[in-house]
Amino acid sequence: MINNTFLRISIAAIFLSAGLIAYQISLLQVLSITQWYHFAFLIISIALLGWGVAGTFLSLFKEFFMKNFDVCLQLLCILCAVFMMLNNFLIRIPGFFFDTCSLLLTDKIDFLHITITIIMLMYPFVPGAMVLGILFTKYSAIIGKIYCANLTGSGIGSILILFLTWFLFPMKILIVIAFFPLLSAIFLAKRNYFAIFSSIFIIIFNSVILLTQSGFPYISEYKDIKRVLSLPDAKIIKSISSPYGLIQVLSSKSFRITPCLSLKFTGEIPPEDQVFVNADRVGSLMDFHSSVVMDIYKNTTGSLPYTIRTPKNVLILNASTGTGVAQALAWNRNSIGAVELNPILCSFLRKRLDKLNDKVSIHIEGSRLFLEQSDKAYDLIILPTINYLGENTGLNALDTQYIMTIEGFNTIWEKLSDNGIIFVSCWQDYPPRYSYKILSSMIEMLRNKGIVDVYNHICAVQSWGDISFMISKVKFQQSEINKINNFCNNLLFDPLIVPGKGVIHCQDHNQNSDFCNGFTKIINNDKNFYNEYRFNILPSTDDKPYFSQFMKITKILQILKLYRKGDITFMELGYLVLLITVLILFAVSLLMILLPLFTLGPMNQKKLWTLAYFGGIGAGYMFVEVVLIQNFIFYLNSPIYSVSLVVTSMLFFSGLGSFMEDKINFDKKGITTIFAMIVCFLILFTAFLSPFLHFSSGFSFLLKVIVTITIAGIPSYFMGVPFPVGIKYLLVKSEKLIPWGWAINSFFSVLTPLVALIISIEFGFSFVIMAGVFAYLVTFLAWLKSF
Amino acid sequence: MKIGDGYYGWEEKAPFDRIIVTAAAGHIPPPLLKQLKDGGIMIIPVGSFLFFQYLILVKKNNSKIITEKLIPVRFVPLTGSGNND
Repeated sequence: MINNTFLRISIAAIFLSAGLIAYQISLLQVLSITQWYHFAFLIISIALLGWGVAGTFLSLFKEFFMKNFDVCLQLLCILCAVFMMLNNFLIRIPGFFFDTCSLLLTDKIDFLHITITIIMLMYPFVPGAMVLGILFTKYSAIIGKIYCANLTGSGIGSILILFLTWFLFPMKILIVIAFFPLLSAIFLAKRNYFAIFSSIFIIIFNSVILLTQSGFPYISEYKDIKRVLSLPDAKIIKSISSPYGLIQVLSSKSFRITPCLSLKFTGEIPPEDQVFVNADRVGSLMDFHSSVVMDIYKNTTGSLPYTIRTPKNVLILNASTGTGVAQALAWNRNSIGAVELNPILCSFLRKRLDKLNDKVSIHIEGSRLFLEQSDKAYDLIILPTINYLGENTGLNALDTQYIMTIEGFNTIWEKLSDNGIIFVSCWQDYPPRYSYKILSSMIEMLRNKGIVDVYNHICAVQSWGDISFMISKVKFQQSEINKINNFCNNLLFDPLIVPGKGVIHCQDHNQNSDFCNGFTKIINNDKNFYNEYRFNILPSTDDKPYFSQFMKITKILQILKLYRKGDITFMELGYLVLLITVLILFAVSLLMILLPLFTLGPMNQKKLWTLAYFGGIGAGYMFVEVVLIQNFIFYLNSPIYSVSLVVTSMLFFSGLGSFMEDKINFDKKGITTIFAMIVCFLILFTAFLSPFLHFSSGFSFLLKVIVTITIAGIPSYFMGVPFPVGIKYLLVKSEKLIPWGWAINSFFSVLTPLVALIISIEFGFSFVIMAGVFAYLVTFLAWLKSF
Repeated sequence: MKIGDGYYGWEEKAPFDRIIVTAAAGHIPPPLLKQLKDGGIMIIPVGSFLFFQYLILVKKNNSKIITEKLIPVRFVPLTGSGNND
């Protein structure tokens, strides 16, 4: 009988766990569409908060749940599904959830709205997590096996979601996921026909919703696509769901956009269809065969490198919809490489090139990795335009951009031919941030290369809207400097940095903000300038790859004050929202950890042990997960594959570790070895992970998947052991503390991803690993100190 | 008065001494530059539709065009029927 019960419970746990993790990843995708990635990222912590709250409820009402065990499990599963379905409606209501951009329009931070949003996103996780918590408590004697089922289900859920995103639109996926807890309820129902029929009835109701409701959520009024859709004749003509995001093509006869165009250009600018990924504009679908379009591209700042030299091999990084390709084609280049990670954008590009495909080779790869593997030398390497039109001001502060780091520029430099050029354009912002940071990154790379006469290798021109930088591997010749000046005069641009002369104050055609002072100080490596400047404009590195993060944490209040006075036009809302959320979640977590003490009694040595042991595990595990995900985003070229593979591997191997712990029942020496292994692995990561991933970056994709599973999996096997060990220990010493320990573990997991992000922004990823080591050492010390 | 897409200005009545554009564009529209009289001045907000644009002062002197960024502003998008009539 115990086998049948165990099987039934295990299947239910797998369904429920798969549903909960799939729901979490789907919400991440939906929130990336309705808002931005920095907000979507919070869902990881919000989901875990649901687990923590569930643990607190269990601590408070443990006896009630144990007494009504079967009914509680069934009802909670059904409740979880109903909450998921209810949230599906709430996400469609305009203004129901907090919107990051509302901070732009108000003088006050609406803590209440943020808190309500967190609660409304969290509550479907609570009943689901309670079911698992009840199972952990009830079957604590076989905790390893139940924990294994839980983690296996989570692994299955995260893989499943990868497949579903190819076939269903995001909101439809959210509806489908609600079936999982219902299936779980049926498995837990035994002979409770009421629960079975209720589940079946809700399954039918949910199926009707699936067939009738739209697959698209309500999108923030501040997202690009909403603004373009406000044009009178704008309409979406294509929508594609994929793990690379929701890709939409929008047509409008009124929407004309072009890179910084010379004011000498008097021709017609045709409207072009626009492409959006997760409701953010990524580019135009220009007609590569139109002479009008080619003429436009000849009259932009992007023509500068083609005017002074005749590059044969041109490489466009992060090619997107093909602006750089159009530029190269306008100058009749025949050997153009375009690197783009998103296969759907690549298919758009390939289709439109048609007969020009023999001139352009398209590589579906991440730019940095492509360069590291390429054995070709390029005469011109073009980076994507930075912050075009100021569209993403401060909202992508938490995005990592490995192509814009010092190491990234070093890789680009290595792939230049002897006469090669790096070209990058940047939208002018005030106060200058992007332009300063891109310059400081390139200058630092040149210095690292031992180039002392940087003024001979760099050039910059400004139009009415952008600044374009050009870095040459060899010194610019006088004839080329003359061509730069002629280019500026002919197209009404102004030189800002003239090779050989340095930074000049020329505003013959465009009287913009004065960048000269800052440029001079950056090129002269004035350390005081970096320290005193209100914003962080230090070069980004692979350890701190947040190119678009400019906010200095020490100057947040000063920046907020300036913003409210109207002295600056934008601030890094992404980072600000992260900090606000950490504050709220910290307060909620603390409250929820302390709340059960009303029934458990005041703090004593046993409770301190539980806090240190389970807190350490929760924090340590998440620190490692964040670091691994980040490293493998670079390695696998894709955040989606990285998150799925790392999370699945970690969960599966942790589950295996828990399962083995249940079989082996490690003694004190065994446990000490386990902790020693964990700490050893983390120290090895600090020293060798990044170099090894760079070394093996040329491996085939299949081999890389195996490397990922191995690196994420092996330490996770050991990291899966301490949790059941702790639960079993409490089972012997103080059973009533089990739900509290589980809740503590969850609350520390809530805060850790956000804290890890802040640590990585301020100090770098290497410090995040050290934080993981510290957390596991705390757990180990707690273990050594018996009570 | 003419009802139409401001992007194209009013070619029949051009050139103009002053052009004031009260909606944001992603670039300075070439038709408006063409319709600006020699010695004329245009002001136009240019930049992103949502977050902010810069109010740009455009001067045309002896066919030479000079731009000057004035202040950051927020305007609604420059749009119309999309037809040049």
